[in-house]
Amino acid sequence: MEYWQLILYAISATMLFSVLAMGFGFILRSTKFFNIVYGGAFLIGGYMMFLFYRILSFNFFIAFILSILISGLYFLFSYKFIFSPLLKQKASNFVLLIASFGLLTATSAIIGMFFGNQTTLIARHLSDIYTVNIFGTVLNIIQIFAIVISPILICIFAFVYFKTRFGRAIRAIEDDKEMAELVGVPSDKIFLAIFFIGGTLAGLGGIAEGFDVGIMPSSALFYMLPVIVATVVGGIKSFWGAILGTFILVLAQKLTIIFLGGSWEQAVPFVILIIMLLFRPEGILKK
Amino acid sequence: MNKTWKVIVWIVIVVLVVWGAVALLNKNSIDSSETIKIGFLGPLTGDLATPGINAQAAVSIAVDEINKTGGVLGKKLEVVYEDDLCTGATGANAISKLINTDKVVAVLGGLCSGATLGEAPIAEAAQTVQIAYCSTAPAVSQAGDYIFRNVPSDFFQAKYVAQYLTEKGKNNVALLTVKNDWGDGLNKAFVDAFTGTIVVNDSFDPNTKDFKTQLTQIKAKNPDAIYFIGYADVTIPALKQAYDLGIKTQFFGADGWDDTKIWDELGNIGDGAMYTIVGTNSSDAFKTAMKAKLGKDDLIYCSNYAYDGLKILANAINKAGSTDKVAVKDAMYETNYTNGVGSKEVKFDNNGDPISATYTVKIVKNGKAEDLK
Repeated sequence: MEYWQLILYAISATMLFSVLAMGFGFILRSTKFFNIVYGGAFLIGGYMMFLFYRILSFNFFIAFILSILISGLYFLFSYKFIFSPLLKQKASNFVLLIASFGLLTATSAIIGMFFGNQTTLIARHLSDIYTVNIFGTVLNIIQIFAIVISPILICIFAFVYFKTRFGRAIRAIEDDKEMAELVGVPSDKIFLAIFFIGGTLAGLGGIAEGFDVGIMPSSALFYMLPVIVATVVGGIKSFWGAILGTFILVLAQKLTIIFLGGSWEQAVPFVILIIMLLFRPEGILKK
Repeated sequence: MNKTWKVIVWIVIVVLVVWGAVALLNKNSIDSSETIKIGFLGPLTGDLATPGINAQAAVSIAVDEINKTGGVLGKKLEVVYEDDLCTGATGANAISKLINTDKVVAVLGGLCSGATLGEAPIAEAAQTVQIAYCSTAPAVSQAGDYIFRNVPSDFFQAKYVAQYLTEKGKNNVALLTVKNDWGDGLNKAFVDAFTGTIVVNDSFDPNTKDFKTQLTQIKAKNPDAIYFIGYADVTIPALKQAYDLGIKTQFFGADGWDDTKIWDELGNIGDGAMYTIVGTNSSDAFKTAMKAKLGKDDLIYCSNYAYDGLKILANAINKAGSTDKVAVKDAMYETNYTNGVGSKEVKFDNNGDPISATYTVKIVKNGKAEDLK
């Protein structure tokens, strides 16, 4: 029975991270660099929800829609005002990475100034997040939400990515941006759309974590690092790679806690990353 | 850049340099004679902000009282407050600033053991007396000749808890500890002191918020009590997750749980939890003053010790008769402080630790912590 509980917990963690990693993968494949500002969108989503739902007492759904809109816009603006000009100047990946770190640090600091650096819980009362008993195991409603919604989201995105014109345009840009532009793909518009959608996904993650366990400004990097590792391990070039990578990573982390103890949990992503980079840097899934 | 711009830039530079020099000169001549400065270090932001700000309020009450009765060495006492974020790295910078820029005579701080252990080497090297008002890690005893504290070492808290648990028949205990200086020290002392069985001894990173896996394993082992050593940021999710899992086992915590934020956030979820704190001797006058200062009824035990700490420093400076650092240190070792709001009596042993230690147990009822009768 204890094992079912552990398995259920691992599944819910995987679901959340895989949606985050999927969104991150889109950005990575199209702009070809690790955009850490994704973590900033995660924070903005969570903190805006805190602001609207808990401080201003808005209705839950209104607060939710507003928050993911704002996190999407935040990420979109980061593209429009920072990354787009840099990309046009053909800035190196290194410069883009540093710029993204800079923006994330600034975002975290500003959030810290307004909301404080302690853990922030979005729920109005922690007892609001009630638990459900499933055949002797328990899950709280956030986890159930993650387990139910994530596969749906992934399927929707997979459908759009593989079966629609929009998805084909994205794939074209990922393969070769210049060629795509030559055949008439409006790459700037597509980028704006990808960034907005990616921002909403990250914001959704921030809101979920904010309800479940609480977030703080340093959470951005705390959640980004496993997301990045999962994406690299699963395969940078593949849509399903991020999801596979998340699965492997979360499994490894939970097994480590069980067999080696909790203090090793944070080391696991890095150990896996190093092993992958040594033996198969392109990741498990090629395309 | 044309000629006019260059001239403007040069004028700005000259003005800044002259202004800076004048300010520096003025600063040096004004502050050495008018006030006695003591530095205060505490977590004014971050995980331990609630106890930190609480302690700051207590110190400001003590300063007012001291100044009303003639100040220190006949001069006004001024406290310079700095934020150490409960970490050694920030604390080291903050204490350097206090010692070198503000030229404080002594330092009251830190609150967190990790912060104090980062600050102490700098105070020791500068031969400046530092008294920590809430740092309980055993390692602080060896932090230096100039380093004192008026709270006892966790060596004693661990013994107290171990004895208490055994008395109450809790012989199988699961141990979950945060990985920082305070947690490590208390964990080790408890393992040494406890005579029962420790069924699980696991730890976690201070940034962790997911204890589900570890709690599931602990639940399966069915211990008599779970001793959870952590501050607010980790305790809130951990207790919520334990509640979700339906864990009915008695939760026991350490002095880090004396933080109203934890019980306010958890509401009834935290009810029944117990924790130890260093005993206090609050007077009604102190409680009233704190309530007035904070605007609400919220007294965290570190504040009692911060208040006492400042008065102990003031007394030592008065006893030394000057701000000479060695004299102040020697006076500290001769401290015989009575009727404090922290402990009834404070005397230091040759490690700078207080010679006596009392502890009490608090229990959480209806989202508020109260003394266990």
